[in-house]
Amino acid sequence: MAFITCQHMYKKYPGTDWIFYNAGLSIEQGQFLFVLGNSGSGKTTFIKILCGQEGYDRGRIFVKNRNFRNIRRKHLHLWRRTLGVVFQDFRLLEDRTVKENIALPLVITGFGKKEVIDRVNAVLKLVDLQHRADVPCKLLSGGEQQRVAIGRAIVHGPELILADEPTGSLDDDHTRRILQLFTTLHRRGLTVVIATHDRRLPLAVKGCRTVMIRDKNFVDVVPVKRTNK
Amino acid sequence: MTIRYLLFVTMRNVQSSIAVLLAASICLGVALFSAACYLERDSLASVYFPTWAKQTKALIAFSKKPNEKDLKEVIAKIHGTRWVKSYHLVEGKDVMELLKKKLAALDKTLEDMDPAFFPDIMELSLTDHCLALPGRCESFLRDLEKIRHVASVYSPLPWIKTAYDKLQVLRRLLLFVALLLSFVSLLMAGVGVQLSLGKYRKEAYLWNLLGASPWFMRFPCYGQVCLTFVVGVATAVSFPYWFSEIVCFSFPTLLLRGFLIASGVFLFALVAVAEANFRKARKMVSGDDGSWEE
Repeated sequence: MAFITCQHMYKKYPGTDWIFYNAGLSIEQGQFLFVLGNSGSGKTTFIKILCGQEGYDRGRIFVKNRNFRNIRRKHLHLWRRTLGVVFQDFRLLEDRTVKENIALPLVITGFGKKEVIDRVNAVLKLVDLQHRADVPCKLLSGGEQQRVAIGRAIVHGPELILADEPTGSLDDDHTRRILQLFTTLHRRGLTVVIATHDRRLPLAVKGCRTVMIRDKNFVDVVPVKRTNK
Repeated sequence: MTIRYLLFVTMRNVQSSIAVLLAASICLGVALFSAACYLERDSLASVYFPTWAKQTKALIAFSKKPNEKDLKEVIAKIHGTRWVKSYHLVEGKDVMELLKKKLAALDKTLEDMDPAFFPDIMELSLTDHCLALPGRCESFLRDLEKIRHVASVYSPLPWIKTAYDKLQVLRRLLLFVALLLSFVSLLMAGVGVQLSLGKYRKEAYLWNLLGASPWFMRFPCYGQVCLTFVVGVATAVSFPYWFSEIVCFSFPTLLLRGFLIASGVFLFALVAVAEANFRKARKMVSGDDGSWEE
């Protein structure tokens, strides 16, 4: 069963050309999907549409066979609770500690104190930030902030992880570690969607699917390693 | 844990705007004091005249010694009206004695005169109503002049009437001050909440993205409104009371009216601003207008 299906999706911002024109994409449950595209091709817009941050002009999106448009605005938060989103600019509360930032989705959804502590500790271990747990986020490096954002995205056990350029500001070593983390989560059964412009990333993940946004539509591609002659 | 977190955010918001909100409360307190002065129409004199000035008396001078029937007629006229608090008859011989004493103090004597020459006088102590409605009280006193053997009625009412007319101008000024300060305090309360919610809006934006329910996002706004409302109204109502105690004015209906006005002003400003902020935070998520970077 397809987890998310986009059919004949159209999207444009006022005063601009179409971002998506009759676009279609199906994401299976438990899939590891890379969405590639150049800057301005619509990767972030696609992530925002899936979060319910942006609407789309025409077409249909089904989430577990349920029409996305039928989700009422007042119930949208219930859909967002099943998502783990890693934003391009992290969007952390900078004056709060690592622990508090990671715990935020749990506090919002009303988890008990003990469970919050247990889950946060487990995630801190997973993202390797135990030693920085009580440090305010503004004092962290870019890579550490990225890991906090990922920790916050997975702490509440989402079904789908949406990551927008998660390795955009990282060096090769940190990129490898972050991808390893996503692979670990994927192995645990999570569906992972990563939007990136870096065409080398899909090569680092075995068994992933890669689509590219080309001509305002999604096109399946097979990533090939470039060789310098 | 959720409630604790929400209370923390609420208290942080209140803390960051406490000075502006207290200033708004005091401003509203002054407005209430002015409004109270304006609204006390029925007991205007009791508000504006100090206690010593309220001993207003009128004197009825008889043309000749009144018999029992004449007195009964006068008493029947003044009895049961709201203008006269008490009355006291002074006989002509007492008036003469009084005059003698006064003249002796000035080293002068009163030649042998017939006490009957001095008319009896009835002293009336007037009520506060006469101060509040001097025109109507004056016509009542004029009616007394029509009674047989009443030569004339003396009272300070013409002077009070002039003062009363001037007080009407003062009342209008007070109304203007009350309205102006209410508006200023409304603005200040709104700006105070608005300032404190800058941080909240950014945080609420993130909550929304992470799946916070609408009530969760509203809680800090309305928590702040409740706290500010209680503190603001208490300050605003207690200020005119405290001030009226100092200046010895009395406002019989200040508590109820002041509470209603203060509640109305504060509630309107705070709820409007809080709801606007909540909507703004929600709109930021749907439009993603770049406010995160602000």
